[in-house]
Amino acid sequence: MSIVPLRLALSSLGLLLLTTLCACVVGDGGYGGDVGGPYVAGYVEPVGYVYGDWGRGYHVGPPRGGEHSAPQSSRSYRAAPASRATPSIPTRSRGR
Amino acid sequence: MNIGWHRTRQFVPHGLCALLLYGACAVAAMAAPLDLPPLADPASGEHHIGKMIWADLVTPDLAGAKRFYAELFGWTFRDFHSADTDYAVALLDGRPVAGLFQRKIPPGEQRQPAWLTFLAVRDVDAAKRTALEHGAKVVFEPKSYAGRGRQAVFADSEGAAFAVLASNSDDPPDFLAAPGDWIWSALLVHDPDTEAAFYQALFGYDVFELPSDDGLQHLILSSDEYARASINSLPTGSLRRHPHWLNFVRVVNTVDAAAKAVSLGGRVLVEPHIGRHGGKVALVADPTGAPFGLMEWSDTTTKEEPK
Repeated sequence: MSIVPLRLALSSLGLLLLTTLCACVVGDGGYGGDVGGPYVAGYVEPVGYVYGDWGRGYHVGPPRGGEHSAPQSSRSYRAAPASRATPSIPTRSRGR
Repeated sequence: MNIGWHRTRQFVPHGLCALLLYGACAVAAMAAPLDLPPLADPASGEHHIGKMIWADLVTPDLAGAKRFYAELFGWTFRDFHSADTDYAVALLDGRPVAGLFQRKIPPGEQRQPAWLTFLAVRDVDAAKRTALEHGAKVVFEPKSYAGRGRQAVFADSEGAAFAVLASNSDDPPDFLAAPGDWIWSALLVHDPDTEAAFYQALFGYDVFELPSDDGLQHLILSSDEYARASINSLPTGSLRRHPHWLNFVRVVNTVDAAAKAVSLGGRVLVEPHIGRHGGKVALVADPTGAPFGLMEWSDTTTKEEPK
């Protein structure tokens, strides 16, 4: 039996073992060991619910600025002061 | 006989080599991390906490979804594969704008495809702690992907799912969205007041309450002096509603885009109508039922009173 294929086989076996070991021991990379691997953000919604189906007076879009309601102390959130105008979305175009 | 045995002895090591090399390569491929592209290339140097910077679609039909969104918005795609993942990054003029993730939904699993909203943070693990302290649940634990950054998926106290992402390349700069890019996000919930407090704790938003004619609460979340999203009371009239985020893509003509979505196998959920900003808005669903919005935006649009 030639010595060359035997060495190649042993080298391959070593490579396989080393790679398997590396696959099992994931380096933390500064992230606490939860790096790489399959993508896991595969969120799907429950079925049987209605999306949309609202009337024409129902608005979910952005404002173009302007006034907003006076802050109410009963709110759970910290309301922006009445002196500030409601902001709109960015309007600067790319390349300008 | 001697010749045959000699050949066998030569063949076995070679065959074994090939097998072991194949095994090593397969294990290496499985171990290779999913190297997703950066959101901003080159790095922007900008951070916009609370800005919607990414969206993922989970779909059982990746090829069909790619055809639909390519035709509708002119997106092109770059595919990424690992052992357990078929993922396509959608590009608009060469810039990554969204991800499409293949996932078969078993018949017994009562779930439907949806777009997942990613909001920018600086520290995903800190965001997780804050979210949990304020009643959220972890849907997917924080995880890092080379190139992209670190992300996690949460459900807020009403169950609306959203993701946080700390981008490795900083956040995309604040430009007006081009046609085909995301321009707006809206959260529809039962209790906007409580939800606004939750998201304010998480992202530090300024919160503005808009005057309302419909008796429902409409809030605007802003950061860096820009409106980032709205929180709205769920429309009345149906019990079959559940809290969720909706994302809107800027289009040149909402009516035409909605018609095109239908011709491509989608359907209209809310007919085109004038939004509060003066442009037309519609809500559509792709062929698998994933809802998303269409929105016109023009600098020259004269603000019309919503009807």
